[in-house]
Amino acid sequence: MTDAAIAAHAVPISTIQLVEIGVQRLCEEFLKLEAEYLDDRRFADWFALLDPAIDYEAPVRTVRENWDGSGISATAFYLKEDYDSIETRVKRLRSRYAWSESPATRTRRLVSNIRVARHDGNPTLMAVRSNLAVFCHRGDAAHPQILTAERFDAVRIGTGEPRLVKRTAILDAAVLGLKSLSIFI
Amino acid sequence: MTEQVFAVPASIEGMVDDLREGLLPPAVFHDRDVYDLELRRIFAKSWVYIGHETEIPSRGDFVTRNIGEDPFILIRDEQGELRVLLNACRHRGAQVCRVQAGNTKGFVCPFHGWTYRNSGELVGAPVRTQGYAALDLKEWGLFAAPHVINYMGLVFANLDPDAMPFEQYLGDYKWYFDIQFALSDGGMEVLGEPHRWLVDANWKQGAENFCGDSSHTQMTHRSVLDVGIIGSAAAGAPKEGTGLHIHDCSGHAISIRQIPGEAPFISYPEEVTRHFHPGVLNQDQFDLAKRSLLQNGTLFPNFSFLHIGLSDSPEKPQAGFLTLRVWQPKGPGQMEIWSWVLAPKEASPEYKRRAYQVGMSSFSPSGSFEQDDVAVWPGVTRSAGTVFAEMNDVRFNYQMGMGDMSSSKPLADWVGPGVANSTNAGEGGLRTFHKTWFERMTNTTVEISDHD
Ligand code: FES
Ligand SMILES: [Fe+2]
Repeated sequence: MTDAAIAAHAVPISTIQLVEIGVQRLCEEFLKLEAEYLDDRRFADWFALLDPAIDYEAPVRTVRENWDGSGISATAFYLKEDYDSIETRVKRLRSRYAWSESPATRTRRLVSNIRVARHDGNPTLMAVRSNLAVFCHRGDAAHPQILTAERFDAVRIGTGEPRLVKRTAILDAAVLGLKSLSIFI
Repeated sequence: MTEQVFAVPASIEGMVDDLREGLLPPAVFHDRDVYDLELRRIFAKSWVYIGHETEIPSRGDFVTRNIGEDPFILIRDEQGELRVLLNACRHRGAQVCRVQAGNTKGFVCPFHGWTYRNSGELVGAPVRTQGYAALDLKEWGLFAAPHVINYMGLVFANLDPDAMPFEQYLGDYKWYFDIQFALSDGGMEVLGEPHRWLVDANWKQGAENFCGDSSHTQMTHRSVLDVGIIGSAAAGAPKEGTGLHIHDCSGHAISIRQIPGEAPFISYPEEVTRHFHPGVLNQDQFDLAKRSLLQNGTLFPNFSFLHIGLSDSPEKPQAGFLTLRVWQPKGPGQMEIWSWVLAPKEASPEYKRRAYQVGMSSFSPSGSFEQDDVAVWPGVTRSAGTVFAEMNDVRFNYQMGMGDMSSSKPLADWVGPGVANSTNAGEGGLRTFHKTWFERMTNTTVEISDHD
């Protein structure tokens, strides 16, 4: 990952780095718990996993020639959130009039390829990179829409429960087939 | 140029009687033959939005866009000229550009290697001396849209060689349209690449909505009103005096929310509004912008704008922004929405970031407003295709605010063009859209007065 758009946002992990097994497991369990909360629509519990300093983004990507960068935008986003804006989204989802999620999308998140490394000089901040597939079933449609993304996270560990401090979720789609991105990724 | 002979489908032939009643046959949202005619009589003959000059600032910069379903390349050539080139090789039709954006001096076709300059000119073909000795390069450049205009930074193209000039197409609507783009000297700047996403609804759902569907806000967007990220004045129920609907304005329509006597200036903060001054606008246009909370409209057929101030959290102040959108047809039952966020060029980088964030959080695939629009619209497209509708001559009701339905009469002393209604409890803008649509589909002119 040489692209400036990614490098600016997250710690890339492109070599094998062995962190303590306990730390590795902690980060993996954290992502699985997060997926469970989101699939179960326990948004308040999910929100509690976020650090108040959270920087949460999903950049737009554009198809470009192979020699012309990754096409991942540094300025355009599907999500560009902080703690307050996420809280607002979560509150909106509680409304029975949030038609995009009423009735709710049934989501199934598969989180895999989890790699964990230390941020330089910060023993309590872990760089966690993972792959995500979300199967989205809406209404009575027989077939799901599938979103896939790679996520570059920063997870704070140490005293207390782990918290998500930063996320860059890079969707693979250049045109979204999903009529609305009313879920968290 | 050959005009393909396509008859006006029977399903819409007698539509003028429906329009007079404020009714609409569902076929307009569903029938394939209606759609096929739309591609030819609407998209191939209207001024269609292609992109913004700030998306391609340097020579060689390009983005790929569509007119109807036809693929085009918008490129700034070596002379700095904006070109709208059909993305189809003149040899045997392969796509010469297979990416969405970039910078190039030219295109080499991946099929047999015909090579074009970024102006579209053909400069060579492999083994030309052996196989194409008599090929006249000048005759075989990439096809280009016959008419392209850069209007206040907005690039429109028209595929009809006999098209009326853009200014004439815009007509009196210019009075409202210019307000969106000329509040400051630098005009508006596009912030980042567009959002693109698919919605299973007819393209006209989006286009008519932006003509002034003010009464949907209270219901479709109720969840957003509940969480308090839009001011109550901007989102409140239709109201005499604050709601303003302009229709029959050279075939286009606009909806405005204003607070007479105040100066919300579309919720732009002082650090931005201090760059605003009439400039090319007259004082009436400028004053209207000043007392506006929001303005939204559609330039027929599928280019819409919304100038508004919102926030992404009730804890944070409102920020003004402009969103532009294209409702791109993809068959009668599907559209691809394209949307951009813009801010005045003079605004600070911090403000532009904020404007983008707020724009995205409200109008985009994840937008807390737009999510709910597109949750509702596919239902209309589905209803439009029912056999029941066909069997029973079902008509959709667009009568809100029409004639006796309205508690008020159009303003007699309105400063701007078009028919102005001082309440937004009406669907006059939508009726304007469908009337224009019918006229273009049938090459006729229809006289309908909303307030006989
Ligand atoms: S189709 Fe392009 S060179 Fe043959
Ligand atoms: Fe809406």
